[in-house]
Amino acid sequence: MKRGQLQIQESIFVLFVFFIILVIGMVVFYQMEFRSIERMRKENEDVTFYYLISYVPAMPEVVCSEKGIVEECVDLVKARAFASYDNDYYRKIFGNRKIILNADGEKIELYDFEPSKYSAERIISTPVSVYNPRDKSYTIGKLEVYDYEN
Amino acid sequence: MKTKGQIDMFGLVIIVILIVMIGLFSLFFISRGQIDEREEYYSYKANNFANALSKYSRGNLNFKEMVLECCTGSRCEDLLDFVEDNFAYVDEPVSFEIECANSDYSGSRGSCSSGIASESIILQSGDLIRVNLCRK
Repeated sequence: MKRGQLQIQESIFVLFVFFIILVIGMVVFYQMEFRSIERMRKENEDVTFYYLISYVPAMPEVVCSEKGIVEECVDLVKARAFASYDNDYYRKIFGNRKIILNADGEKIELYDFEPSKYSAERIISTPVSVYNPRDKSYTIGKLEVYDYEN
Repeated sequence: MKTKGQIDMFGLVIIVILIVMIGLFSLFFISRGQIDEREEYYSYKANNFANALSKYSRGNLNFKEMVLECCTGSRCEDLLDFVEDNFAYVDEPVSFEIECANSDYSGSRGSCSSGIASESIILQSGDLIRVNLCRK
């Protein structure tokens, strides 16, 4: 073989190896990206889920307020009224979840959209201050949020 | 004996492999940042518990008065027993601390000595309460 032919063969071989490595690199990169996007989606879902525990007690529908001044507690009467609302309106906010307030020996289902089939269930809870305007008492209740994964 | 061309080729292949490996590793480490939403969750929970305790008032049982009584030298055990009874509202190990403003008394109850602390709540009397919450 002539020297020129040999050099062309060398270049072709280097390019061939380069493209093989490039393709392997791209495949690995896209797999990592896909996993990363999946993880971000999961993290985002988690953030939304954990956020609910602070969002629900602060909702104007249930939060204690007097003459426009908001207090850090759940109004028991408001919570009972909220529990009787139509769930459909809140479905886009809460999704496939169930929210329960245990207060004063009473179990108030603030929201319930438990799917008939789900693969996993997660529960988070927090103590909340519960105000009963009838006897003006403040007690401690427990807010529970159930998350259902399909 | 290798020709000059073979050595060049070998060198180029190694450089390409190194570049691809470095690129992949850097991409892997760049995309590893994680959000710890559970930390905020526990902190929120501890704050909520401290807030709910400080507000408690029903019939003859008023938390602020109990703290006041404790800090003036009586019935501290009753206060701590009351708090302990309410630990059931938290699923994680939890502890409660009180520091009186006008006396040297400081007490605690619970099984979580160091954990995620709530904000310190200073009551009208100047006495301070705090809750610690340990991860499960």
